[in-house]
Formats: sequence, C-alpha cells, structure tokens
Amino acid sequence: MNGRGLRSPASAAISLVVPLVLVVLTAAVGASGTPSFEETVTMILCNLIIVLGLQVFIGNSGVYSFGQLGFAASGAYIAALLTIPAIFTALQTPALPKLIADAQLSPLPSTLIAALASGLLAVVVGWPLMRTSTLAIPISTFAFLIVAYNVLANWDAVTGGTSGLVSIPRTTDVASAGLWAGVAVVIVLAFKWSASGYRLQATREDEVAARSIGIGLMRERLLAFTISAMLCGIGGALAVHESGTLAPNTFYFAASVTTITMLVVGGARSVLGAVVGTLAVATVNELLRNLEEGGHVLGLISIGEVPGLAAIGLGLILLVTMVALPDGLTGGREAGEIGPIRRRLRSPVLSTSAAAAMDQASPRSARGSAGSLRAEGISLAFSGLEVLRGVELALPPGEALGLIGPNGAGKTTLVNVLSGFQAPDSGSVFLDGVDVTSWSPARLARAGLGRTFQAALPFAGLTVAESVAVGAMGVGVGRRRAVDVAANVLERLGLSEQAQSPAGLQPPGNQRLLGIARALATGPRYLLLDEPAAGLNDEECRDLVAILRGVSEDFGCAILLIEHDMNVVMDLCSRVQVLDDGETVVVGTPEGVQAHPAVIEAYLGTSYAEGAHA
Amino acid sequence: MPDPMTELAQSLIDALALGGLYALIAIGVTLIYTVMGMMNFAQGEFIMLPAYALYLLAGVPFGVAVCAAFATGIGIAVLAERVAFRPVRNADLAAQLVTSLAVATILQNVVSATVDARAQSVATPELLSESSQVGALSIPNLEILTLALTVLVLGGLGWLLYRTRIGLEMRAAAENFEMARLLGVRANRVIAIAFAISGALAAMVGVLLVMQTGQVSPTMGLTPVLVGFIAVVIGGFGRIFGAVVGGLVLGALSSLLGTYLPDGLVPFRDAIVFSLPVAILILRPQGLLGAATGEARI
Amino acid sequence: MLELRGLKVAYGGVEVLHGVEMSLNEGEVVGMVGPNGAGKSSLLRAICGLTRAGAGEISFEGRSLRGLAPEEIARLGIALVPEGRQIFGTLTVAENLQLAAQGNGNETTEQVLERLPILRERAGQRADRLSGGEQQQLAVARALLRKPRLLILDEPSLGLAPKMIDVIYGLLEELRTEGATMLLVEQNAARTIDFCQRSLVLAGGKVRASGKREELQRNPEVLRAYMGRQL
Repeated sequence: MNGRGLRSPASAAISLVVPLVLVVLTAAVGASGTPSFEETVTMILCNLIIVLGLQVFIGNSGVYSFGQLGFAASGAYIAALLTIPAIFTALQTPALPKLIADAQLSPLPSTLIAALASGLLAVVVGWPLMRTSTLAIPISTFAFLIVAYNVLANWDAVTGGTSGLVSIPRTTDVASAGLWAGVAVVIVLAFKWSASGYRLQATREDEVAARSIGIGLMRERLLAFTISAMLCGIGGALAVHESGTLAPNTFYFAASVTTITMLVVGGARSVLGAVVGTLAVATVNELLRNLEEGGHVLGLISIGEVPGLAAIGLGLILLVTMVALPDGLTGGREAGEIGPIRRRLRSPVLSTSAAAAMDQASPRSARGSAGSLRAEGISLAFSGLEVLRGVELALPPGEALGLIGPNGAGKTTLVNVLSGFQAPDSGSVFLDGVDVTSWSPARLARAGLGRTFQAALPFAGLTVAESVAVGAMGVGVGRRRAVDVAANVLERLGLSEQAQSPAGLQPPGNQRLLGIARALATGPRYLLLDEPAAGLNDEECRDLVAILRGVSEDFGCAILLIEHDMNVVMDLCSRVQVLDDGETVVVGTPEGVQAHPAVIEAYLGTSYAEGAHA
Repeated sequence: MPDPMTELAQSLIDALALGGLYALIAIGVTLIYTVMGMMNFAQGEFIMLPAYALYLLAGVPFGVAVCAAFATGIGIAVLAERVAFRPVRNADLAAQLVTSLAVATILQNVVSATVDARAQSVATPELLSESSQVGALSIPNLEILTLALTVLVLGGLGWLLYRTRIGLEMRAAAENFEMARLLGVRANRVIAIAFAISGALAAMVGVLLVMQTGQVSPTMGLTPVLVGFIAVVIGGFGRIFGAVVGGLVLGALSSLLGTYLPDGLVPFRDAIVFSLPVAILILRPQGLLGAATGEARI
Repeated sequence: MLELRGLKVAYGGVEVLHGVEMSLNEGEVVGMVGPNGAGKSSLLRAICGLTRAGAGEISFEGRSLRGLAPEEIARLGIALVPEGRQIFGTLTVAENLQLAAQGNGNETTEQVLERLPILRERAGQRADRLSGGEQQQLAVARALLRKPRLLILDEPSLGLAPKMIDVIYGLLEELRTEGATMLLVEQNAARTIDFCQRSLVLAGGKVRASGKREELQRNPEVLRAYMGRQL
C-alpha cells in the first residue's frame, strides 16, 4: 500500500490518513447535530462514495464518463428491491421475479449484491464502450446514462416507473455511511498506487508512450470502469436507504453534474481531491439552499429537479474552476505530496543491492538471444508521397546500429513501422524469426522491443521513479519488482537523485534520459532510440554516449540509434545505415560512411563532397 | 383500412422529417466541433432557450416570436463562446467538454429558476397543427416545414461554405487552423461565426420541437444534444456531410421504430435507438463515413 | 528589418534554441542551414507566432512580435511557406489562392499566375491531387499573394525531384532580383549557401557560423556541423 520505494512511508501514511480523518470528522459532526442535520451529512457521505467512484475512473484515466450515475442507479434499484418488504414490492413492482420481490435482506448483503450487479453491468456495458476512441467515451457513456434512465422510467412493472419506489427501509445512518466511505477511500487509493493504477495513469499522461511500454488501453480502462461502477453502486444503494425513496431522476443529469463538479473542484487526479471537493461543494450547496428556501433540505441527491439558486451556483463554480483552476483545489496531489509537507519528509532511498537487482531487473536480456530484429522490403506511402521504398534493416542481438540521413529521409517512419505504430504498405518485420508486422506496439513491447520518441513524451504528472517503474509494470512486472527495476535503471542513468521529483519539471536533457530509462525498464532486447541527443550540449552528449554504451553491455540489448549528431553515432555504433529519400544509400562502418561521397552529397550537396575528397 | 403502401409512404415521410430535424441538430454540433475540436454539451440549451422565447412571447404575433427565438439562439451561442469557451480554447478535450457541461447546467437552471421547472404548454399556430393532402397521403404541415427547412439549411450552408469568403475561411480553419492563421485568417472571427450559425440552427430546432410537442421544459435539450453527439459520431467526426447522414439515420430509425415497434416496447424506443450507435462504433471506430478522429473535414 | 536577440525556444518540453542572434535587412536574402534537430523550424515557428518564445527578443521593423497571434504577425507582412507545404488539400487550387489573396486584388493574382502558369491550369482541381512540386509552387504562390514584406521559406526543396527544385529556385531568383527580402531555411547546405548573399549555420540550437557566401564555402565548420569530427 505504501508503494515501497516510490514514496516514503510517511508520505504514504499522510496521504491515506488525511482523507480518512476528514471522513471520520464529517461523520462525527453529523452525529452530533439534529436528526435532520445528521441525515444531510449522511447523504453527503453517500455522495462521497459516488465521487470516489468517479475519481477512480476519471482521475486515473483522464477520460470523462458521464454515465457512472447510471451505475449508482442500478445499485440503488437492486438494493432497494432486495430490501423492500414483500407486501410493498407486490404493490409497486408487480412484475418483479418472486425471488427478488420476496427478498428482504439486511443492508450489508443487499449493498454487496448491488455492488456486484453494478460491476457486472459495467463489464457488459464497458466492454464495447472502452473500445471506442477517447473522444467517443464521454458521448457513449452519456448515451448509457440516458438509456438507463429511459429503461428505469418506462419499465413500470419492474421498477415502479417514473414515480419510483417508496417504503425503502431507512437503514443507513451516519456511522455506516462513514464506514463505507472510509473503505472506499482505501480502495481508491490502493488502486491508484497499484500496478494497474499506474498503467492507467500512464495512458492519461501520454497515450502513445503508454502503448510503447506494453500497456493495453482498453483493458486498463475497463478495470477502472468496473471498480468505479461498483463504488457508485454502493453509494447509490446507501443513499436510497437513507432517504427511503427512489425515482429514475434521482441519479440522472443533475446528480451527474453535482458529482462531477465535486470531483473537478477538489482536483480530479487525487483521492484527497475527491474528499475535499465533495465536502467543499456540499457545504456551499447547503448554504445556497438555505438561502433560497430558508429551511433544511434532505441532502443533495434530488428527488426531483430542484430549480434554483443552488444549482446555478454549482454550475458557476464548475465553470470558474475549469477556467481558472483546472486542476482543482488540491492541484491533483495527495496529502503527502503537497509542497510544504513533502519538503519536510525525507525522500525514500530508492536503493538496490546492485548485483541482485541487475539479475532481477533484466529478465529478458538474460535469455539466450537467438534471432534478430529484421525488416525486409518495407515500403510506405503517405497520400501518394513515397516515404519508404523497399528498405531493409538487420539488427543482430547486442549490436549498435546507427540510422542516419537527411531530414525527410524516412528514419522515424521506419522506426514507427518497426515498433508497430505504423503499418507498412508492403514488406515485413521479423522479431527473432517471428513475423510481427501486424503486431501492436504494446504487444511488441511485451515481446522485448522498446523505443523512445523524438519528443520526449514524458509522463509529466508522475514522478521520475514512477515514470520508470511503470515501464516495467507495462510489460507485466509486479509493482514491487518494478520499483527495484526502476531503482536500478535510474542509478545507471544517473537520475537517482531526481527520483521523487515530477517528471514534467525535469530539464530537457533529463527528460530524454527518462524516456530511455522508461524504455529500459521494459527489459528490451532491442531498443530503438529516436534522436536521443537532440538538444543536448557537448558534455551531455558525452555522458549520453557513456550511458548508452554501458546500457548495451550491461543490459545486453541491441540498439538502433537515429541520430543527427555524428559524434554520438561514431562513438557508439559499430555499423551505420544511411537513408535518403526513403532508400538505403549505404551500410557500413562509421568511418567508411562518414567519408562516403554519396553520404556527404546527400547532406550537404556536391561541392562539399568534392571538397571532402580534396 | 389504409392501404399498406400508403402507410409505408407515410412512415417514410415521418422518418425523413424526423431525420431532417436530427440532421439539423447534428450540423449545429459538428460546426463547432470542426472549428474548435469541442463537443458542445450546451447545444441542448441553445435549442431550449429559443423555445422558451416562444413560450414567453405567447401573445405576440408568431412571426415576431420566431425572430426573437432566432435572436436568442444566436445571442446565447456567441455569448457563451466569448465568456466561457474562449478561455479554455487551448485546454484539452476533457476540460472543454466539462466547461460546456457547466454552461449547460447554468442555463438549464436559470430557466428553471426564473420561469418554472415544470413543462409548460405552448400554443401552436393553427396552420402548423393541420395536415395537407398530397395525393393519397396526409402529411402534417409541420413535417413539410421541417423537410423544407432541412433542404433550405443544407442549401444555405452549402452556399455559405462554398461561395463566400467566410465559408472559405471556415473550411480552411477546419482543415488546418494553424495554417489558416498564418494566412491571416482571424481565429476569433471564424469561431464566433461558427457559433452564431450553430445558434441559429439550434433556434430553428427549438422552434420546430415546440411546434411538434406543444411543450417546453428546462431539460428539453438533453435528448437532442445526445442525438447530435451520436449523429456526429456515427457520421464520422468532423464531417458536416457525415453529420447529416448520421442525423438522418438516427431520425429515420427512431421514427420507424416508433411506428413498427410492438406496443410493449414502444416506451423503450429511445433506449434502443441510442444503443445502436454503440454497435456501429465498435465495428467502425471512425464512424460510418469517418475521417480519422480529430481530422476535420467540412 | 527582422532582429532576433538571445532567443530561446522550448518545444515539447525540451529547449531547442539556446540563445540565437540574427538580423536581416530589407532586400537581403539570408540562408539558414544546419542539420535536423538544430532548431531551424522552431526558430521560424517562434517568429511567426506559432510557438511561444522563451527568453529573448524578436522584433520586426522595430516592433516586438512577442505575444502576437499568428494572424496578426501575418498581417504585419511576414509570410511563411511552411515545411511540408501545408496546402489545404480539400480546397481547390483556386480557393487556396483566393484565401491568401483577400483584399490584394486581381492584379496580384494575375502576376503570380504569370510566374507559375501550372497553377492556372490546375485552378479547379483539389489541391491534394497536385504533385509535390506543384504543391510547393502553390504554397509559394499563396505566400506571394499576401504581398509580404518578408518571405520565409522552410525547406522548400524537401521531398522534391531535382528538376522541381530548379523550378522553385528559379522563382526565388526572380524574386531576388526584384528586391524581395527572404529568409531561406534548408537542410541542403551547399545550394543554399550558394544562393544566398549570406547565411547562418545553426546546429545544436546555436549559431555555429555565419558570413558571406565565399567565406562559408571555405569554412570547415559547416562540414563539421553536419558530419561530426573531421575526417
């Protein structure tokens, strides 16, 4: 739970304890007031569970689902139908199957069943929805919300239709709501710090880079989507057992906006944000309600569309937050990560026992490497313009091959083809003898092919250590071992000191190294580097060369290096392949290539080629 | 007993009319998407507010009320762009989407608070509640109007986009905003005009919806905006032509289901209609006519 | 006319220009060469307002360009022919030209079409049907139609057949004799240095060498910038 090594135990403890304390305090405050105040606070805690459910999906994936309250509704209805005494179900929902109608469960089992049912529904709904594109998910989940409403409102005989259900036993008190909220906090934080949570966060930070380290977008999103649905189902179930009534528009548009506002105002990326946001917005909402109606109202989950000041106020708060403070009150940070607190804490020592870690950390390189990375006859055209023409490439294990050529020669495109980001029009790519031309980048990463990008593509919202560890997690390494791998890699690349700082704040040279570190953490046998030296000064270049040479030797991986800095190429590579205008000009030793007239001509033009000869 | 051919023809006309209405919604949503990359949740409110203008101006001559409705639609769209959307123009998709959600909520609730939360009836001019005889068919005048308007809008839009300067700028901006700016195209102007046109289209839809249902309510924009989104998605993001096709498909489907669904299932019509696009998306993530997501084409 | 002082630009989180100094006077044709990754495109993007400049100054005819929107900079008289041409493929050739010409009248359009008759031939075709060379001509025509005070070309010869490159450079030669002010950015050093009165060599985000044509042609720094250590 403390992400051993990724954060200090103290920081982890603070991040866990502060939201829990807030929950407990809220419950205590609620218990000490009038009965109707207690009811209000209970509702707020139920809302919090739903907001935590939103956080686990939206906060970690960066994708907005507008349908999660559909799962709150499903949880609420199922729990209600299971607990309403048989006499009343007969009246309200005559067509309900006898098993459910006669059931009169106590709160805990009904809530658990509601959670399970919501989870199952989420898998069924989420399976197709998570396959759609990032932009389509908000729309399709919104559709789900409306479909859910439509079904609930029209299936009179089973759900009570638009009038809904009454006589729901009011079994939720502030203590049970508080307890469940506490459990939800623990679950959501545990997920965020788990390997799955990190993989999902990586997709939020940079989808392309995440795919390049083996992460499956759909799988990770579906998992969080399901957990989210279960939490929302629990929140919904508890809420209706507080209010005693339920209607289709209890968990519909207004509630969706309210809960999303709570999440956004607090800061979508952090669990603390979910808690702080819920409490802050709920408080403001109550104040506004009292202003407009001069009396107590039962919590926030409306029994009908309640028009008025409060809702407008909420909308304004959301708008202002999006414009002025998009990361919310917490800025997306957990309690243990907030500036002043973090500065006081000692950074964890991301330490390793060098030899042991090295053996552990390079599982793939230890394998006896047969075969190579080979490309044959790769041709590719974009909108009629030929970018690659029948290019061949061979990268035997352990070798360093330089790929050079003028701008527009097709080097990055070739690497994109090799790493699965681009399908060639013709030709094949072979990894250890297997035809991998149609494989996805994630699949290739898991098979031992890593790469970096021309733009560093950092996981800006994660720390340096997390960014690298997630590389290992991406290819299926468990969290504990991934941290060891990260420690090892960071030490080799001289980044250990930076382990706890945010990756996004690193200077450009370090961000490039970080990209390399991340790729290395996947334990590749073939590493494709796209202009790692771009933007580095002379000294940094020398360091880079030393690092890469060490990497090649210690990690036993072959390197394909696209570079324009000839010094780097000369020092590192045993062979160089020159590409110009989509074709291979020559393949040879660095010295041979450097003096080759065709190469000089390609870069500089004829007069220089002649001059070089003179 | 009506002749089955006539019945079929009648259903097809109904389907076309509804399809036309949905196409109008879809175009409004797409226009904003193509120039800003944003899916506008508040489009539903751009539809709802003009409808309320009609309601509030009940005693006034119909023509005047309709003009007021249009002014409302255009006004609110341009205002929303200036105040709420311009500050987040360079933010990511999620932020823009949530911002539009905020705008939608505010507008919905302002109306709830100042007018009424419940649905209100609006009188339809006599002419529009009647039907006309066309051969063997009896077609509601409203449907004729809808169809006529749809054709007019498509024609007008085509003229605007392909025969005017501003249309040229919009098409260029939709394809490559940066390059358009390098040639001196004013970003603010193009976006404001896109919003204005969207607002006008939304007003049209609002008026037609009021005539059709005889009612206004603060949440009347919810289903239309979803329709608009789904039509855009089905048709393939960012293509106006695709949005039209998407709208027609959705509308036709909805109408035909309404006619031919067994009685017991009729209340679930919306549920079915909105679930089907998901199937399309799974089979073809880029939509029926899609360009790759994010690649805008008018 | 154009002056850069201590310009630093970051792109994608990485600083790519580490303090560039440059000046360009009216009527001059200046070249900028250097290997890829040197920062040439970032420099141009900063001048045209597409990328925010970090530290440093950019001024055009005495006026600071910092913080101006791209369309405002374009209206000041700077025209960019960007890398990869970036013509509007879904618009016709005529529409591409129309977009650029606004307000400048038919006379200018006529003049430009005189120089580049192929565009007149293809006027009604969709621009994405044109060959690479024709697209490049279209891109240059578009820039010319704006009657720019300063014409900037980013790798105009990229991806073109040698014959096409000759056509383009022929056009540039014409413009030069008419006194146009141009900044020409290319990766092919020889041709550029030969063409321009003076040039700069940009490598690793800094200006490594600059000077008149004859000086640079003898300067080993150029070779070094591209090819690494001396042979």
